[in-house]
Amino acid sequence: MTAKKTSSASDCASNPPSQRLGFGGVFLLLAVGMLLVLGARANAGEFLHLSDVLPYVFWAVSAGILVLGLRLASYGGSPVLPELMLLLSALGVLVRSRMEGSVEGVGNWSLFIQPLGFVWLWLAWNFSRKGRILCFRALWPLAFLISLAVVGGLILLGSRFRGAFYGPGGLTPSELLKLFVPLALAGFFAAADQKWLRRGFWNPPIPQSAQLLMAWGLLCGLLVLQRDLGLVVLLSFMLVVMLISVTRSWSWGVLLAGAMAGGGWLVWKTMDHGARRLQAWLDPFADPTGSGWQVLQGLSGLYAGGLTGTGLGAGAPERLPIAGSDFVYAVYGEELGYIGCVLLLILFALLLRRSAEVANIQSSPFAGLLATGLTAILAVQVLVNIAGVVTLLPITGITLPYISQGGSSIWVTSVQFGLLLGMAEPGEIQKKAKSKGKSKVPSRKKSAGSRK
Amino acid sequence: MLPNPSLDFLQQILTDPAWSHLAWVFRWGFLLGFGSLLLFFPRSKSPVSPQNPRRFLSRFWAFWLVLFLLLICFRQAQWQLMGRQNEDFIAFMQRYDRREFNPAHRVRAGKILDRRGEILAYSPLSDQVIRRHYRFGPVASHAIGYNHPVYGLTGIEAAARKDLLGQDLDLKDDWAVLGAELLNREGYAEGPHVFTTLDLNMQLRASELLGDRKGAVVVLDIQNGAVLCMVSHPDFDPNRLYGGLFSGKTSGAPLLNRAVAGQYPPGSVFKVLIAAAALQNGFKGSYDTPPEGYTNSPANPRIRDHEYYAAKEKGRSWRGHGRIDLGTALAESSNVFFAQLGVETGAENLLRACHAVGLHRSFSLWQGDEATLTVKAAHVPDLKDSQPYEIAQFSIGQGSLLMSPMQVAMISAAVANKGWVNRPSLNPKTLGVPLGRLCGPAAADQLKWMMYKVVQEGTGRRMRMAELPVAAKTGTAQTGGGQASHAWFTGFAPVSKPRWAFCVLVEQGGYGSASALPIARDLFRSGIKEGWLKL
Repeated sequence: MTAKKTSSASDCASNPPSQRLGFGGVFLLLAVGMLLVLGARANAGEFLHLSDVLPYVFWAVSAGILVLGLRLASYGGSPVLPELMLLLSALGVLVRSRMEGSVEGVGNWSLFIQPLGFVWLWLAWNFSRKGRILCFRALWPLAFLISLAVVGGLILLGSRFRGAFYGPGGLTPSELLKLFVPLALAGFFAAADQKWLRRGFWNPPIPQSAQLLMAWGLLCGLLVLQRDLGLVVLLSFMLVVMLISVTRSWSWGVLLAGAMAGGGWLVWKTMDHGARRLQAWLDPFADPTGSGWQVLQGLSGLYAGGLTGTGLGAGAPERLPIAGSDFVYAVYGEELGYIGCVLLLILFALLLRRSAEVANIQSSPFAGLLATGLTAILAVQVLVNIAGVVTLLPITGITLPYISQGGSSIWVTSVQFGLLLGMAEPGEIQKKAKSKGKSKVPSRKKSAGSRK
Repeated sequence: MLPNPSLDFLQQILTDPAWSHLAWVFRWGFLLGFGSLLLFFPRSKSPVSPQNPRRFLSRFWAFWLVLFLLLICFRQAQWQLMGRQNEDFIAFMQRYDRREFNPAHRVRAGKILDRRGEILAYSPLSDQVIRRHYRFGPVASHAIGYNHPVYGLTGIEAAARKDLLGQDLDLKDDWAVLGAELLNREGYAEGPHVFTTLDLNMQLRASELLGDRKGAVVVLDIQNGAVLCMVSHPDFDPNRLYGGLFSGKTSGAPLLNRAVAGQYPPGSVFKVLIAAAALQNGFKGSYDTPPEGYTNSPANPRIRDHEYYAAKEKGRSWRGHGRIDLGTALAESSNVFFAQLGVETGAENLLRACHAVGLHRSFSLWQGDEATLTVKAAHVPDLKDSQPYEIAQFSIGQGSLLMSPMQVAMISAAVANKGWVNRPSLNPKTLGVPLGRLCGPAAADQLKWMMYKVVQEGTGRRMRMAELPVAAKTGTAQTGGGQASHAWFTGFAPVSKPRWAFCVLVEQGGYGSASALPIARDLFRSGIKEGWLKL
């Protein structure tokens, strides 16, 4: 046991040169971006105050503490994962500070959103690292009940604003589903994963599928009542990815295609605001000053940015209505140009690749499925949000993780990242769990042996 | 609250001229640094190697992911890099995008010209950025409006936006020409110029005459309703807009176009409309005008003539005008006479006259895509024959009646135009649109000479000019609340063959004959002297 520990520590010790450079690069990038944003603001005639610098300082300090914390607790996972997360977070801080204008006052609580997010990330990492994640394995019914309670409570108690439900203080508790639903599903599948194995869409395990269908119908029904279609799409896609992963049968993809076609038709026929969004997607010029306005303003921003962009701080996000959440990519693209957008897409691709790698190094089905679900959620959020802005898909109201405004979204993404970081370093507990599970699932051990 | 000190050193560095070059380096440095970080990150190897028997996410997903990302890149390039080939898109940005750095704005809006071709607004190019410039600053600012990247568009700039850009979302052929110029980067394509009906000379002179006083001057072409002059003071400089203008904190509401959107009690100038309605109704008689004035019940204050108050002020008594006819009553602006005349003419006839002039409805001086330059509907009280005192008040232009200088000018123009009312317009392409008929030609002719009498021997005597015979009516509208009266003066010239109808309003200017009349007189006098008004 001690030998293992020292070996993992020495693993880390061999890494530092490259790792330090990577983190240093992120901090440097933030500093350059900060000077660009503040420079544009100062040259527009604004007077700079301490509170204008604080978002960056707070981010840098908290990110620095996080890096130090990872180092001191000898984080033993993939070093690229935290680097990519921090880079994404730095870009998010730059774009958000760009849109919000000057923060009013030094004590503004929005300054603390990202630093607090790092705290949640650190906590989630500690609760899940070295196999501790497996402690949550049996809690899936609780996770499911919490999900239902969140949605139900929101319908009963929340207030409606711009077509979505909000809890007290403008929080969007439905963001929590992006955490609890994958936890619940991973536990549910892992509890009977042998029953699912190699069962395609055409011959599903009847009792389990019935349970799943009922639970899913309940959850999605409540979400549709809330008119949160984006979340239904997001979670359903994640479900299919996990189904394919647990059954190893691609036939479940049929479900995806069918659900997409049926859901689209249903939205078109029954939902007013859904039909409007579809209309704005199919032909934004049909009603350029009405339903197409937001999309076209976003695209105008992209066009104005061109290949290289106007430079951070030099764009005009105030031209774009509600730019902060759905259309943050348009603001980003206006200021950093097509090149910056391609770089951001590469960043997301690398992040997804690494988080898929986290899933693939898991030996326990629970952790593997959880990482799979989190990866799927991350992927769908990125793809659907960006595709909405560039009119590849209709607008769904899904946020761009770590870039969009909104404390709830940033915090939930932080916890997801923390879980991924924790699962990136499987440890002793997991080993124990493995040996425990030996009697339960001997077939997997065998197949492992056979592969070698 | 915590202290929030300003960062002077940072401010100094960032506003230094050298910063603009450095910012360029930083911009590229940011993109290059971002890219090199992405190149560098994947090199660090993961310390944990996958040893499990199964892949939870197969490589097939990676294929779909990359495919979708490429689709996004392709779709985004269609807009971001090749957007100029989408004519709908370019047209949208031309009309609705306010980012002045947007290359789609390389098509410049055309010039706005007055009726003789003088340039009022144009788009010069400086530092690769096109800005709208208004040659005469605040002069005609309410008519032309502004086209500003932050504050948007109003006035002719907004209404004629399509014409100024030489394009129409439905007419793509025009876009093909401009789009080709844009693609070939042959300078900066410019939209066609747009003529207006404004007369720059008249506009400049009227603006000068009104000076610092609040008020409005309107001059209409009687034949077709063309707005030759529309001045509203205080005005603003469209070249120098600032946020305070729009916050409502600026005193005097300079953005308000008093000529069309101001709502004032018209006072005695409204007697022209009452007289027209009475004449149309066949009125030929006379009324006694005792100094006790008119009222229908002791509860209502008496409506008296202004001579009564003038005499009372000097401690003398006034015996009244005696029994007078309509012509004398108009010349002397007798309230007592018109109160009785209105009551006899009846609510129905009076309201019909108001409708004929179009007081009840709003319309735009430039019918374009956007609602702008709107002449507000007048506030006309709901008259009933059972309430004669209301009618009496209405007949002397008081009570709850409110209207704009443009509408007063329309009444004068109707009298001069044989009773026909033309819709006022700033757009030379939509002239001579009839709105209605105030009265028949006989009544109009009678009234015309009565208004001439006002200038010859009545309250408008100071308007008598050898070079230009004018028919007119003065007005002094009480505003209530102990404030000074609004001064009105309206009429038309020349009497024998009318061409110009005018209306001058000076807010809180006192007597119409004292403060509003001289503006009209000097305007016409200098126009004839300098030759820009040709008889």
